[in-house]
Amino acid sequence: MKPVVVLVGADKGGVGKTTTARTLLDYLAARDTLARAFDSEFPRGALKRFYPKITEIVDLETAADQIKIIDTLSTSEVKVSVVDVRAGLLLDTLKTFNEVGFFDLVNAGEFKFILYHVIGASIASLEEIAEIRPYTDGRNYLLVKNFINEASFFEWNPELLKQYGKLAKGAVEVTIPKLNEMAFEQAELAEVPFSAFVDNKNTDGQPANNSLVLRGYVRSWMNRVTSEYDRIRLIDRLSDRGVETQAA
Amino acid sequence: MVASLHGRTGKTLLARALIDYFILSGGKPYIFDTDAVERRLHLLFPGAARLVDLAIVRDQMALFDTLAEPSCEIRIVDITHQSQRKFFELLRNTDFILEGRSRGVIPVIFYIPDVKADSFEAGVVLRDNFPDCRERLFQRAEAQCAGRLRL
Repeated sequence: MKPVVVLVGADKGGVGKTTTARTLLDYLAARDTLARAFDSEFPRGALKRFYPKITEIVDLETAADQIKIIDTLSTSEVKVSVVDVRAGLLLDTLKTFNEVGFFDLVNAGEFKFILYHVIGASIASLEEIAEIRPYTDGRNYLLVKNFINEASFFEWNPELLKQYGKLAKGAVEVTIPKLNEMAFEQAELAEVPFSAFVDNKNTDGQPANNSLVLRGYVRSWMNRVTSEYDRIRLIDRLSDRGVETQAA
Repeated sequence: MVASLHGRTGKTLLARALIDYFILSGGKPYIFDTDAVERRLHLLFPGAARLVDLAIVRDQMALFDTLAEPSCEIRIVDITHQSQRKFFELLRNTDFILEGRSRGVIPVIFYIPDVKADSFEAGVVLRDNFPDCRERLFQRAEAQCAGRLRL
């Protein structure tokens, strides 16, 4: 299997990027796909406390850490690298990756690349998509709509919806449905993967004391997210098998 | 769990009878009243009956998290017909039966059908969806509550 980089990013903060990254890592584990994660919320990290064993905190703005990720792609035994890009840094990270020749190697078939772009339901997101599209041609571009508070994404404004439709052409849309806030918070506080929370396990794998009801909400939500990832054939996209990508 | 599809089937009456039976047997049953409007059990057993509104997540937790805890005392839930769907949805989503049983909690559903066909069908659906629950189907005769047990 070729090394794969999944860049999880959002230029707007507060869209639930790290939450969706957690669902991604949970899904990969459930599908027996080994992955490593890079948490760019330097220095404290945001993702690391949920996946301490497989996550490294990096500062994406330093060459040293960029090297740490890219140079180890070919040598690492773990083929899938999920990079949780700090809010606001997505475009810059794409530019940097371009400058260091990462995309040349993707084009040459050395590596695979998936852009997992988490968006919110605002006009700022549309601008973001427009800026990012040049880096997505012919690639796996996942537009991840995270329904935190919103009931709809742009449906309330036909003009915006049209714009979104144009920008999203060729992209693969992923819907992350809304999760009850209390359930989300308890899962956050538990500091374990969502699946461990649902199984009522704590960080040491021992029985935890989480609410049956809130675990039920997370279980139902994760089932829906899993169906989405199954629907877009995420595992195929990661593997050498691939899925046909459309040009924008 | 005492449930029925429509109102005015004698559900709360049955719940009261069960509660009185357990109290007279020397127990101290936990009582959950899901009827935020009429609150009959809450009024009949002040201090012993907890009112829960299943539309509120916090109350859902107060109910199901408590029910899943092992206890020597019987827990009785009077499920208003308006809350029925929500109640059994939660029962399914939380995997309550599985978890409760693993902690020694025995779930029993008393379902009261009335003369309408959909009410009887709903009872059958319930039985099929929760095969691990012991189920008792009661039929109310014209003038009085007659119990007829059928497993």
